[in-house]
Amino acid sequence: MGQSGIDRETKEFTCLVADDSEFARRTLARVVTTIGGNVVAEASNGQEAVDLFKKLKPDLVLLDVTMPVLDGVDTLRRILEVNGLARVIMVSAVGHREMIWKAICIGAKHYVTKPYSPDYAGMIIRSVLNGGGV
Amino acid sequence: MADNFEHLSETEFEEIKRIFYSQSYEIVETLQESLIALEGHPGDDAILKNIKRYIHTLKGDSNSIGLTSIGGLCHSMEDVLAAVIDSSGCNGRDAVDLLLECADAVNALLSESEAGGKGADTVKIIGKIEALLRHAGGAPEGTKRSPVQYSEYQELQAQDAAEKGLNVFEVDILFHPLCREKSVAAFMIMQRLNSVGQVIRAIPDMESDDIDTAVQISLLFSTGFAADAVIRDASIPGITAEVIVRGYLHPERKGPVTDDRQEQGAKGIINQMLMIESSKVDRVMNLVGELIIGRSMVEHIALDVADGAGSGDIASRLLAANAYMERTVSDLQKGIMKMRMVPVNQVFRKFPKIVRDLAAEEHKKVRLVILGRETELDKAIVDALGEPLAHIIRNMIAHGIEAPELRSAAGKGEEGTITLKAFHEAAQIVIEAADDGRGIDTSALKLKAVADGHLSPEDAERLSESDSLNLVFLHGLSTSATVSEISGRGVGMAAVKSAVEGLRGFMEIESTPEKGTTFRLRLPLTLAVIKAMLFEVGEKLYAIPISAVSEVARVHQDELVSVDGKDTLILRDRIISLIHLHGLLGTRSSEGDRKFILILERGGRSIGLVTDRLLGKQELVIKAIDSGHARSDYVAGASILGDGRIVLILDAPSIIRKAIENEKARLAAL
Repeated sequence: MGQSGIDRETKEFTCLVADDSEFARRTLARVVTTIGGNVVAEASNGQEAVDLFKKLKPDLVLLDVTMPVLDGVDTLRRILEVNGLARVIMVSAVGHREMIWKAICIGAKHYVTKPYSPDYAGMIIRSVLNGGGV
Repeated sequence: MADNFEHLSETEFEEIKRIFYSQSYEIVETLQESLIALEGHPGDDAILKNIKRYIHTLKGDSNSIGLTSIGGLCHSMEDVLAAVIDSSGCNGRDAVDLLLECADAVNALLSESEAGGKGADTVKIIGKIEALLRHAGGAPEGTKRSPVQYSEYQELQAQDAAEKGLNVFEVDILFHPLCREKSVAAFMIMQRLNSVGQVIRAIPDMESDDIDTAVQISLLFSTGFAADAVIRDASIPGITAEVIVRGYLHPERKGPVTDDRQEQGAKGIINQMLMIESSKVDRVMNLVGELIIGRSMVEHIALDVADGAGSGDIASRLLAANAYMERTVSDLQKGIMKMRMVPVNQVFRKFPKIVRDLAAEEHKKVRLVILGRETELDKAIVDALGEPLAHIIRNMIAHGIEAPELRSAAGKGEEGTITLKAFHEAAQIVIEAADDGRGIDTSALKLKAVADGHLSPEDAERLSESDSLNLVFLHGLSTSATVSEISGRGVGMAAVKSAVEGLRGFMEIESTPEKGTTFRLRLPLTLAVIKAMLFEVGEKLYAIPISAVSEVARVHQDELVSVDGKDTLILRDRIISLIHLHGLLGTRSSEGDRKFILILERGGRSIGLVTDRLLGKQELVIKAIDSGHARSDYVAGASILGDGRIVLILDAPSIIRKAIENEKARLAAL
């Protein structure tokens, strides 16, 4: 809680979007850009996400729970090994309760279930950038 | 009638009166129930408090509408109750008896005045009250403090915390309307709160599945922080909508206590008008909000199309929007359905009084155990259940439960037990009424059925045990082994059965000599919508409630065996006789040699319904059809599918009955 305290709403932030569905990535990217973020990279599997995270150190990661190669929870674990303070929001279709739970226990800040309204997802992203979530 | 209402028009006053009577009858009923509960738990604070509240409401309402005789009687009742609470020497049991008598009197006064009567004399009963109170040494003033809402241990924890200088708050956390996977959400809230204090109690239980449908969680929470800090810590964007904090150990604690905590004593739910928990309405409101979001998703897509933009992913965006809308509409339907759902306790609660009165009448000792009161089902079903259940219970007391001497002689306790139980099983509600009495004498039943000409002696001999039990439901057949006792019982059970079937339910009966009898009513959750299996026979589309289908078998025409000139299917060593719809409804079956057999099961018998093609499961909204259109006993209703096609919904019980009749006729012909 409360790491940053700065209102990031109007500030630009960098974001990594990881989802195996292109459609899902595009919709997430749209949400991010709408609230003034900059999607610096997209990953279509978990390993790619970890590699890109190491390279780009984005302010925020939107991470799908179910992905090939490395699933969301394992990906999260690796990302947190790189940076224990990483801000990661899990994105998941309804019904992956156990996975989201695990992710929150490990250190994800928040979660969004698909389908989501852009406003709702945007609000969650902003709150996490402002130090919200767990 | 009353000065308070002079400014109202005639119709407004009529409306007020209607509400008054409806509500007052309900309160009297609840009051009676609580009084009976009090007998079982003398001195129970929660029950006493409810009783006090009921009487107080009755008094206030009656006086304000001008029925001062009722008001006066209630005032005297309050005195009796105060004596009970103070336990000032008066016999609690006598007092409860007297209060029950008063409640009956209030009821009588209500119906007399509603019918336009002058209102009966209350002098006599008030005299009785005074006598009782004189005996007890006068009516004391004042009442006890409000009862404990939390468990002793929880209170202890709260006090402990307060002694340590911590604040103890009641915290209501409302979920954000768009929040999903609430168990995870609740976990996040708990994680945050546990770092600043201690959660003493959470409702609903964090471990339970209830959390997924909860609109809010209510906590008892101790912390070194102030209320505003708790609000800040408990609020998580996207997860919580609102956090309300109240001081708990504060002497003048305010704010409504959530219903979950009022376990003892029933809450009054008005019968005539459908009262809906506000949380259910809120849920529907939230869903309507989501529908609006869905609509705007579609609107965006439409705008993009109009602009000629984003044509590539239009289809997938439309699919996503559709998926979103579909889920919301289905949640909305469930939400509205939930509004129709009421706890079965609305009928169950009538029975303690019925059992008490009937047992006294029959000179028997009967204990009533009620389980699963909170089980919810369609209000229409709940309303229709009262009579059939009362019939069953009346019979159990009159015939099932033996007289105390007989029970002792048989080595049973003097007191018989009737258990009423409601629970979910598959997509059905099961209501079970069981006694531990003498059981049904099937040989006497058969003799009677033969004597009355329902059965030939040969048929009677061939009858299985379960079929013999089902003779109970024959019209006009008295099932009492000692027929002299109460007449008309057979008619009653036949009526019970048809009432249950009218609700699209089934009845089952089990009985063991000397051990007792169980009647089981299997009912659909709701009358408005059914889950059905869709299938085709020939050109026509049919559906049958999925609850009636136990299994589906895919067979080749040549796998069907003819036994005694009748199509049968051998399924895992079971012989299942088949029934063709064209025999019942005149539908032509197609020529294909692949068939699907729907195995319908009921009362231990299986029959197979032959169909051409299965189209899968679907929820159907049932429309009544006029008898002229599809005049058949085998059709229960119709429904319209999304593509406009009409589907006839078959009535499983009558199809099975027909199959069994056919079977009998065939056996007779051989």
